[in-house]
Amino acid sequence: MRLPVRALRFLILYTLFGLVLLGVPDPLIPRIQRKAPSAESIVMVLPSGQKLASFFEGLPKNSLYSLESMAAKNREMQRCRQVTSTDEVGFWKRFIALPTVHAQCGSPLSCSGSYWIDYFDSCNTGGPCSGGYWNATIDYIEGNQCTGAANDGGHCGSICQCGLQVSTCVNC
Amino acid sequence: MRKTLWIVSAVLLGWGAGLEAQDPGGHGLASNGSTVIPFQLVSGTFGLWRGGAFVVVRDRFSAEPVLTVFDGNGRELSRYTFTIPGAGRVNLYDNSVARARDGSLAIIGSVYDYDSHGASFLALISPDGRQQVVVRLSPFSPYAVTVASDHTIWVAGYNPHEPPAERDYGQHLIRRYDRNGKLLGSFLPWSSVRTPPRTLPAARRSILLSSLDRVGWYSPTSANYVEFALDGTILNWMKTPGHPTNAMVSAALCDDGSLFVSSANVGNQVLQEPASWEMFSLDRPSKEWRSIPRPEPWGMLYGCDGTRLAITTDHALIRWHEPSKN
Repeated sequence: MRLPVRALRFLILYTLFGLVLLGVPDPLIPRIQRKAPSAESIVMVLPSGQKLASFFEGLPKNSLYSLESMAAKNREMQRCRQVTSTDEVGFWKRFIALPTVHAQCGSPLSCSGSYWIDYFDSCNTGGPCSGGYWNATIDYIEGNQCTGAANDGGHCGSICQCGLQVSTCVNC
Repeated sequence: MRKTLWIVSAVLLGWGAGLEAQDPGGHGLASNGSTVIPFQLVSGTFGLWRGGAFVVVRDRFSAEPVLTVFDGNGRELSRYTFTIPGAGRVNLYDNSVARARDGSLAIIGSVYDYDSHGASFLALISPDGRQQVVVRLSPFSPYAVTVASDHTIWVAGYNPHEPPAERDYGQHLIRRYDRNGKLLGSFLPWSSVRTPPRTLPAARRSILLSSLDRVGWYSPTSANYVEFALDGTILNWMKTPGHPTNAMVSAALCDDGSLFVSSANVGNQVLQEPASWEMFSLDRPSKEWRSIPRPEPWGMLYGCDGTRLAITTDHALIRWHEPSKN
């Protein structure tokens, strides 16, 4: 039975309104979020108890700590993590998860670089992409000159297109 | 025909529900319901169960991460924007947030401003979210934090910036602070938990856990688990179950002393290795780890609420489990 266009429009609007009322999380419905409050009073101290006028007071400048430079390194790493196989999984195949072995999952990344720190990340975009894996970011404070990044071919979910794993390794 | 389909569906649903409730047997876990995670845990977001609530961290690598706290029914209790004046980027890692039962928060990480300055920090937020103390920790780098039942804050870390040949292995890896951020003491020399050359040091990827009368430190990289009394006295020290190098390890310490560990490995399509995970529980009298078989390909522990274990296999549901008495 084909619904008239007007009735169909009403049904869609009614459903969306109902979802909003129910508070059901729906990625299709834009969420208007108030900014969460932050502290009214922030005090900066050293472990001795000595107070600081600001958190960065007295710290030396370090050119490595440039936000632009770190962002560029992170972007470069994300490009290395992408699967650039010529046998790309199409949109629908990704969700149907056909049992096809994709030999081209990118070359494993041997341990290289410095100041990388890994963390648990997730790839919950549906279909075969569900679960967690290691991802890495550059951090000159938490990392050191010997903490590189590497991938042994592991990936999130059941196919490499879900995201290649990058974990911290030690190369010196 | 329709009636047959309804009957078959009802039978299958009942069978499935029964399966979920079944205890795998001996040192297993019994299902005790679930809670829908009221937030989409995607890249840049993570959650953990601490201090009786589920804490979700968004924008973990940004100038202003946001922490949202939910109760066991998925109801939002509070929301907090974490700021450090002048910060251009804050980095929060996996075991970098702790919540006390009174609602206060402890956060560790690194922070950079817009003019090439940076340092590591420990931040303490009051239960009402109005007061914040930020302790500058550098050159000490923190990797795990917990709030003990006496409201002291415990941090695991070390100074990672010394060249390998000049490392101070006498430095203590566990530090204890009061609610004003003052250092009260430190424990556990690095030399007692050294890892082989060219492997991650003991403090890295480690986890701090607290229960009613103790603090536990789980170090997957050094394969050590150490329990401390609240004054820092060592209560127990044992080896952990073996973990593959890049296993994603999570742990939970419950109020009755039950200790659980989860170890998840990603799949490898080229080598045709599926993702896998396993769980362990500590048998305290024998100090042995018992494997808990799990059918799912991936999972992790969010934490423990009293004696209820919070497990997820998809970041969409918190699955509650009680330890089986078998």
